[in-house]
Amino acid sequence: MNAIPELDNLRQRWQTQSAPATDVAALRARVAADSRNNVRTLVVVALGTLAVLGFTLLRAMRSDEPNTWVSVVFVTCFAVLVWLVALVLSRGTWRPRDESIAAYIDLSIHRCRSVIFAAPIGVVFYVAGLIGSLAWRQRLLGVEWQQLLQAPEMIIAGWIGAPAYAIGMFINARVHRRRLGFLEKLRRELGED
Amino acid sequence: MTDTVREQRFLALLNANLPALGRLAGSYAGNTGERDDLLQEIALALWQALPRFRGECSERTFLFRIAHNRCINHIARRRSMDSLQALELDPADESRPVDQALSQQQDSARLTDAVRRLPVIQRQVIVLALEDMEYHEIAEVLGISESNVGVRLNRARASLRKLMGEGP
Repeated sequence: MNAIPELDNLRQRWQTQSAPATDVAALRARVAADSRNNVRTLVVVALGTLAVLGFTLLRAMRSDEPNTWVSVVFVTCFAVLVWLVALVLSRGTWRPRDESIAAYIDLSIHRCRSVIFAAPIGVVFYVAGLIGSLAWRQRLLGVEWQQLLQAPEMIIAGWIGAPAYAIGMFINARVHRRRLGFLEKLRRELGED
Repeated sequence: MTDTVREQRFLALLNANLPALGRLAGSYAGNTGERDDLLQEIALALWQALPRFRGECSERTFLFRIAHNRCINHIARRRSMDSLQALELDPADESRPVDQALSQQQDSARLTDAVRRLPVIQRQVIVLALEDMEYHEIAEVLGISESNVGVRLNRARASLRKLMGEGP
């Protein structure tokens, strides 16, 4: 290969490119920061779930109304269900089966499919959580539907939040569908001799 | 692998290959900012993958595999479908004369630009060949046969010639 004069000429030209301004120390520092951020994100989501559970539990313990324990059961079941579904959907998306390019493309394809599949499920969960919370307030605390539907938190989380969340999930799924198409085509082409 | 060993290997690999990785990233990125971001992604992927390195291939092969995977992910995110489509050369490019007075820097920039416009399947092979890799090393990085490397490399060179307006 080295004996191809044209390639040698191209190599010379290729290797005269200016080196990246980033140095290794800067890269190392940013890798450390990125790694910390990845862990932080997971911790924040887990802490968020625990905070919601803790708040519901605390409220039930302080309340004289025995029905508030129903909300603890509902919130706990809901949180467990969401985490279980998230874990099931992310199965096989953590790392490639080996270090080959084909394995990495397969992993990316799997991740895209997972995100596309998760989009409608996420919307269903959001709406189910919202309806569950309203139904609990209406049935157990006796708040009127009219009053519930016009409450500021319902306007933010429901009337604005639900469509915004659904649109966000839809756009994300669309982006991943396009990426999936690209990756599937790439996998086919890279496999060709 | 202890953290100290991981750190030493990581820094040694990056120190030895940073210019080559920069050029590789540059062939998948539209500008220097994007290239530096991609370089950062490659560094992070290397850091995460190092504990899985079992010595089945050379560290350089391992590094370039990771780098290529990151680059493919990068273009998938950018939805660069055009890079996969059959190469359609711009007639203006074919007839573009080679300006002998171009500086070395401009010349290499033109080459990078041409490499960037190659389909991924050809770009992968030519970039590794331009980094002084032998057929068997390229085959190892890309997970294809050596004869396949030869075929793709020939196609890539022919495409480059057309793109740069240098010869038939």
